[in-house]
Amino acid sequence: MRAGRLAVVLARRAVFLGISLVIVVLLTAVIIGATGYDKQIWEAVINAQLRAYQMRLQRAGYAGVELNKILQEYKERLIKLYGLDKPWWERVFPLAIRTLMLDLGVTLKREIATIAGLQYPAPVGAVILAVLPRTIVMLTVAELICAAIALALAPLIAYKRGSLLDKAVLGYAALFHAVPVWWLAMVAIYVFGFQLGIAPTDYRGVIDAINNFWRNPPVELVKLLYYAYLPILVVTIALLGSWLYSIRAMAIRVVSEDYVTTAKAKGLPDRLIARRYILRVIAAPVATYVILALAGSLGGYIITEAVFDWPGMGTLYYVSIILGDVPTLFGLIYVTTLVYVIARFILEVLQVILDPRISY
Amino acid sequence: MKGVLYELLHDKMGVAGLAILAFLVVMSVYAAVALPPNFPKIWNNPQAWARYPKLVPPSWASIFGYKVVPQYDVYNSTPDVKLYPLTAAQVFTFTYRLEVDAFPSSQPGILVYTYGYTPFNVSYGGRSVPARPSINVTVVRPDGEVVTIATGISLNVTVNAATVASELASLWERDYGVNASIVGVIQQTPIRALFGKPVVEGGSVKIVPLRGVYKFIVRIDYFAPGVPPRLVWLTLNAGGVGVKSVELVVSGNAYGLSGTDLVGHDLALGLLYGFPVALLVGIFTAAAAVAIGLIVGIISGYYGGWVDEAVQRLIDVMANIPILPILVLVGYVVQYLYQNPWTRLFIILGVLVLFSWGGMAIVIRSMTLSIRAEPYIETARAIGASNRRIIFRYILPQIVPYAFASMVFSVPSAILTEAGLEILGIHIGLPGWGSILSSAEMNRGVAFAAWWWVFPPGILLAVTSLAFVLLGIALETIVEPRLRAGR
Repeated sequence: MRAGRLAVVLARRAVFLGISLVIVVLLTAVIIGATGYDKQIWEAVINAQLRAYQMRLQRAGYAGVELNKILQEYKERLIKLYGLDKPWWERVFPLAIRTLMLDLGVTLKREIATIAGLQYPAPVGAVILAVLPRTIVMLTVAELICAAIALALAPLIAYKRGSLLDKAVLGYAALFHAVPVWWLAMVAIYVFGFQLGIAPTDYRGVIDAINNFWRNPPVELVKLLYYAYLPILVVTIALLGSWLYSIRAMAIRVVSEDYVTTAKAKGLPDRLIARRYILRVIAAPVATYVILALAGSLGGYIITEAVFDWPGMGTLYYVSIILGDVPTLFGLIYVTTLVYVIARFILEVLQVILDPRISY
Repeated sequence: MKGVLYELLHDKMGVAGLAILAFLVVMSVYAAVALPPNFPKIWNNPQAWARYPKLVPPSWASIFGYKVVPQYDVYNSTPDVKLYPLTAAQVFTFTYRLEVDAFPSSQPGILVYTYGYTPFNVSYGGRSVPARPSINVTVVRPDGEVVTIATGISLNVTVNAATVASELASLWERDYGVNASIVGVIQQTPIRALFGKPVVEGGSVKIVPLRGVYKFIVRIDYFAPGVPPRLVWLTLNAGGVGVKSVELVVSGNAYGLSGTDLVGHDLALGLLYGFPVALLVGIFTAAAAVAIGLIVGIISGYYGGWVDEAVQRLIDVMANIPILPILVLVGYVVQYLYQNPWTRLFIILGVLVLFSWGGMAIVIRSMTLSIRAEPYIETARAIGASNRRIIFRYILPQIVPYAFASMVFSVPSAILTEAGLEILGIHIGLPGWGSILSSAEMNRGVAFAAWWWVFPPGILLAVTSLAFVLLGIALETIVEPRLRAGR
């Protein structure tokens, strides 16, 4: 009976998460359309095409009234073609709905395909798949390192509350909550790249290292590490503070419980207490934190990636916005939200497994 | 409130946070008083910074052993009027001392500006002949060499590298015995050559600084065709015509408290302007987001029912929205739609507020729920207290301290987000820490050699955020006594 009710509850959650995914994509469509963003992009495209056409016509000897007439006709054709004569919702919503049907379309701009290392025009899905590993190499790896350190350290810190180590961790967390990651990245590039010369100052080479990885794994791995070590280090240093702080806070609530005191009184070794009496109990919130962090990392850090000029998801986001590649933008928002929603669903299931108190 | 302040002052983090906050407020007030209201316009106008040396460190770099040549910017409005065989002239003399073994900055190097030029005519033989001005700038170097820096009919001039190179090359061949082929080197670095002398070292020629007194002579000749120069001289001598004053700029190799960037912006002023902007951005956004969260959270928690359900679902959806891409999108659009920086700023902040009250509302809702379940609320209701009375009298006072603490805590994220948008090239149009870092990032090849450009804005951002983080932690332990044990 319990399993049946559980299935119903999980199904309800799944439906709800699905709805919020749809809402996010539609909301993006509203923002893109209602602000006039997409119109402006298309107008720029039309103007560029008109200029090129005008040059061709002039070279062919057209001039004066005749030229203007042909140009005017061409302009009207383009306006119809791109749907600028229609209200924005008729332009944007079909695109949003196609995106929701997983028909992501092709990129509009050559630069987007170039970032992915693909031939133009490239399917948006392929572009995202090409770019995603680079973000994983930088951000997801950094989050994993943080998770490992925080999980190893935090119970011990919480256990020795008020000690020098505990205070140092608090100070570290406060400091790196205040220091922007992207500025840390600028400083790291300044010091390690430009002044000491022991790190790259241009990170675009990572594209080759990842795309050709399977041709010669050992060599490419070294190349990859050469490009990735500084970004990973910077992000790890910046994120570790909030990791330690959060896991510590979860552990503190447990440490003061009576059964931990009892375990201590029984003379159990600290590490056993940390593992069995603290970590096991906080497993559910920790899992939430870890999974949401990992899922969040897949969306990329727009600003930090921009500073490193790291060709990952964040950069793809940014470039598709400034170049006005609406299909790619929709695809990105859809995929990152989808990943996040799936992560939240996995959490719902995990909660049931990890926390025996939850029953439906 | 008094109690909170008292407790803050007895908490090390609280004291540190308050001290930094006081500093930030003082700097903001100073900025508001010291900088003109149209400062953003001035900042964004490169012409306003033409006189300033480009990409030089702050003056106090001297404590690291950096040899500082100060900026020289002097006006002279007392010309000598002289008579020459063909012309009459106003001669403005400037004395410049190079006292350290370093060169003035070559960007912009030497600038000569003239002010208050009044054209005049000279009557001769029944005709009125206009006197045409031309300028000639020469320098008498400490070693006695006289070099023409610039000539021209435009009255504002800068160094003419070709003239300087050809004259200096032949002078140096005569005085120092160096091969005249050095002319190419001089033309590349005319400022170093003007303030230096050649030293032959192992077969190659090096230019080293030449210390001493340099006399700059700015001569403005007036020539009226067919008129005896003496008549021109007489008119000039009568005063009121010709050039009123001349400004000579010799770039320092260091400037001000915080150096300059590639445009020549005095970074100290930009950093100063950053204080009020950062505080405004941070406090406005945090306060607005917390206010919405507070209202929505209490309504949702207190009234429950379908309102609660709708609010919960709304927040759930919002939690799935990637906010930074949306902000970048909005920022990008706003940049094109509006010219006024304040309009741009408040639209972006408005969007930021719109997406950041959710977490606050969830916490407030659950606090409201647990307070509502307390027996005294039931008692109050039984006595006949209205909903309004219960909310304002019993619930709000318990929640506001917590809301205040989280507001303080969320100030940094708004400041850092706004600065981050600048890094992405979404320019609000206000000078500040983010915009300075953004221009450093855009010119990373050169800027990343300039510590005074990359470090101070980031440090100020971090210190400002740190103030609120420290205050937030201190306030949190005060309003949430459970966290206090063991401290």
